[in-house]
Amino acid sequence: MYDFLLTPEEQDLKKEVRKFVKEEITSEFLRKMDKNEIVYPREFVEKLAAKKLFGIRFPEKYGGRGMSWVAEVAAAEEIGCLGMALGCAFVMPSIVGEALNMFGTEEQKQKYLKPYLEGKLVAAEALTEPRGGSDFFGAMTKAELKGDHLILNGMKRFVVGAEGADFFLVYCRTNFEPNAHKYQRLSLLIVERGPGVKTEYLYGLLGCRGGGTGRLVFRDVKVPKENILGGLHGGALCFHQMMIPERLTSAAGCLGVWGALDVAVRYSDRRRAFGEAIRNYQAVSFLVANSITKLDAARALTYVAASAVDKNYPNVRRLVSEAKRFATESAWEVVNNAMQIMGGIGYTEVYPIERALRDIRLGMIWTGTSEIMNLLIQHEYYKQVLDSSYNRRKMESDAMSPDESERCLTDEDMQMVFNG
Amino acid sequence: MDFELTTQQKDIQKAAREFAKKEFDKDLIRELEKKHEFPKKIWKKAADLGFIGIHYPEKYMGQGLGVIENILIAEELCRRDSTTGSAIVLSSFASECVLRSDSEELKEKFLPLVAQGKMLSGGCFTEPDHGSDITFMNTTAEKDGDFWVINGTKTFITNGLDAGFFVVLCQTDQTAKPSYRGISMILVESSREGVTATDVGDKMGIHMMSTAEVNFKNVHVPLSNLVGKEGKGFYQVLEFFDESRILIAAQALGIAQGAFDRALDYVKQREQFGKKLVDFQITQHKLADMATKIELARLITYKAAWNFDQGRIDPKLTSMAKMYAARTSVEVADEAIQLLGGYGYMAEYDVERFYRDAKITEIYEGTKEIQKNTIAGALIGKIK
Ligand SMILES: Cc1cc2nc3c(=O)[nH]c(=O)nc-3n(C[C@H](O)[C@H](O)[C@H](O)COP(=O)(O)OP(=O)(O)OC[C@H]3O[C@@H](n4cnc5c(N)ncnc54)[C@H](O)[C@@H]3O)c2cc1C
Ligand SMILES: Cc1cc2nc3c(=O)[nH]c(=O)nc-3n(C[C@H](O)[C@H](O)[C@H](O)COP(=O)(O)OP(=O)(O)OC[C@H]3O[C@@H](n4cnc5c(N)ncnc54)[C@H](O)[C@@H]3O)c2cc1C
Repeated sequence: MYDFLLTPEEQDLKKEVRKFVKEEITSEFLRKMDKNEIVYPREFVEKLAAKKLFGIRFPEKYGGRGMSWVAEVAAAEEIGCLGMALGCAFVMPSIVGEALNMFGTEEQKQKYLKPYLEGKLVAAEALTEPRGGSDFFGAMTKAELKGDHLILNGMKRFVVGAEGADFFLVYCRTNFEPNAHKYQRLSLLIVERGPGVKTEYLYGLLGCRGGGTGRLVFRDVKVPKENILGGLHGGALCFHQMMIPERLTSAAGCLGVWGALDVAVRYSDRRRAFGEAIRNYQAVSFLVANSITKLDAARALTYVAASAVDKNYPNVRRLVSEAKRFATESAWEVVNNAMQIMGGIGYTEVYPIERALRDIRLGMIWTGTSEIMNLLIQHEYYKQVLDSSYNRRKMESDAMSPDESERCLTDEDMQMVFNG
Repeated sequence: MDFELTTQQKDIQKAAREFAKKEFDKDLIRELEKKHEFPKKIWKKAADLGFIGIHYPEKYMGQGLGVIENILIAEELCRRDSTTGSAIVLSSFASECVLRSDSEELKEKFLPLVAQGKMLSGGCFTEPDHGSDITFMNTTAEKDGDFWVINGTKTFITNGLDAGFFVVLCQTDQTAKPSYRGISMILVESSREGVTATDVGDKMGIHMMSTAEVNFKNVHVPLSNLVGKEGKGFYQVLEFFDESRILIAAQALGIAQGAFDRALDYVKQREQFGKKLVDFQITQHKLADMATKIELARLITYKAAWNFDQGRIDPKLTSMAKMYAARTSVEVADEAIQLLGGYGYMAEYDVERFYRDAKITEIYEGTKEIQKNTIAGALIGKIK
């Protein structure tokens, strides 16, 4: 879909990923993950890396392919049908790598980014804490500077890859000045699994199983000063940057719901009730129409957002957040429709629809909930429209009554009219 | 018009609430749901206290009460716990086919066992090729002397592994036109030779009930196991749906209320950005939407039950109740997941399980599309 938006090179990549998805991952592997028989899909990561499909956005010298965001979205859309946990493993380099590539020193890139993209090391990102996911800047995990290293203490929860990863990007408080602005409180650290780093608990999850989601605890972990990313107290900058890959990949992965929809389409073409193929009932076929329309709209917005990031468009955060919210919500609607079309069998594990449904629910929660997306979206749009440089016809000037007194919005306006 | 429950109904509601509060042990529930086991102990206790078959006459060990009393219990049990509640509610599934029939012998023999918690019942309607459309059955029953000989396969049968008997929809006349006039309902004890059940495998929710494929191979049952009238099975099952859909509506309603209770508790405690989640207007409005839908679902479900107890049959109303309550259940449980954020996605906080359990109410006992067909059919009438 949308192949006309892709360059020939990107189209080739898409074909390559399609082939990978069809040939390299067995049904059994997916089932085992869903049954929690696999804790972390390292094998999958190594396979991707061996085919140089891991972190394709990054420069070739670190193991990437130097490709665009549009390419990344095209690939994630294909991989997405394999489920949330594999989708997440696929895009994690895009998130972790963003910080390393953008803010890392050459040594950091050589030590972490390169082996990560080569499949030799696995990484995870730890933002969320028990006290808060949405309210990120209140993070309480702390690292105190002691000479040439920091001492890290605290707890992170719901971390994908808590079990499985070799190093973590951890946001923690480093600035303890009581009046420090929230953007100057945090730092981002590269923390290797080692003494004091413990995965204490793996969660029982609705979906996205087999991705090693757990609670990470840090007790007096010694982190060398060289492992600060983006400078001391520079966490906010990293966060605002990583928000882009987090949200864009969440959107892109959810586009993988095409896989579930296609099952329902083929099924309803063959399943019969009351002497008819059920696709002949409009209740069924229109549900397919609604689903693919929603999915196409979600694709459109996601590709536009990707292209905007590639072209350094100024409103990318808004667009990316819109794409994240719309694509994850659309995918949820589509997968629910797919289950309904399948009838009773869709509720069982015979077809992977119920697994897809359990997986996709996560989209609207992680990397910022739909509500958190809306906070940013409205904020940015207000800013844009109210800015003095915003130069479009103002339809208020077409209002019927040009009399000021009719257009009082506040008590102050009234006072102006009557007293002024 | 009187929207008030009677004192007796309120007492029953309260008793069911207290029973569930006391007996639905959290750890036990986790374990049973994980192992996919039926809540045997809780079921026995529920039966001892008269919560099962309350709508059966006293002579069958019931309490001679109505559908409304039955669904008040269903609602409370599912509210406390969607999985356990559903299992208890459906422990007597399809027994109403016998109850509402004129097969006195079968009633005497089986209904007390169900009401006393000695036996689970099941209804075998769906076949691999026939789910929504049960106007023709591949499962056959042929007369052979004093026996019906039954052959065929039924699928997605609730309590399939554990039920003591099934009410089975069979084609007894292959040549009848239209085909549904050749369908009869026959009671088959699971202990009969030739009856085998295999679990259909894992499923999204309602994990405490088995869902099985039930196979009948030359199964012999006495002619007297016919439930109701020969050739009337299809009509009887539609009448059964008219009652059972109210029960499923109550199951859905209870699940919705339970998910809402949990979400409300959570947002009153959880803080983000220095505020309680309930202080955000969007949270408040979500609560308002959820509660409004639940209230509407309750009104129509109670009305459908009340109507049934008046001795009236109104498939349009029961289909509306089932469809609306099921939708409400799914929507409210979904919103509850969202309100709990990351915890909504974790087994620990239950709402994800409520969602999984809610979802089936839009599928079994007629999908929502089939409910709409019924409603539209009644609205439009026969087209000339
Ligand atoms: C399976 C899984 C994997 C995850 N993986 C990772 C990971 O790898 N790394 C990581 O750091 N995190 C991860 N997360 C955490 C995820 O990002 C958080 O759960 C998410 O950001 C929400 O935070 P919370 O759970 O604390 O919910 P809360 O912040 O408590 O939110 C609860 C509810 O309140 C709403 N809300 C909050 N603030 C407002 C407001 N101002 N206005 C209106 N509504 C509001 C939210 O939208 C939500 O509905 C993962 C979560 C899950 C479930
Ligand atoms: C967990 C579980 C427990 C169950 N328990 C029992 C049980 O105890 N006993 C029993 O007999 N059955 C049971 N069922 C079966 C259930 O009742 C059927 O699955 C349900 O009636 C739908 O039938 P189907 O699965 O064959 O779907 P289908 O009939 O194949 O329907 C597929 C899709 O087509 C749509 N459709 C079909 N016909 C029309 C039409 N005319 N107009 C518009 N849309 C249409 C449906 O709405 C659905 O979306 C159970 C199912 C499950 C999953």
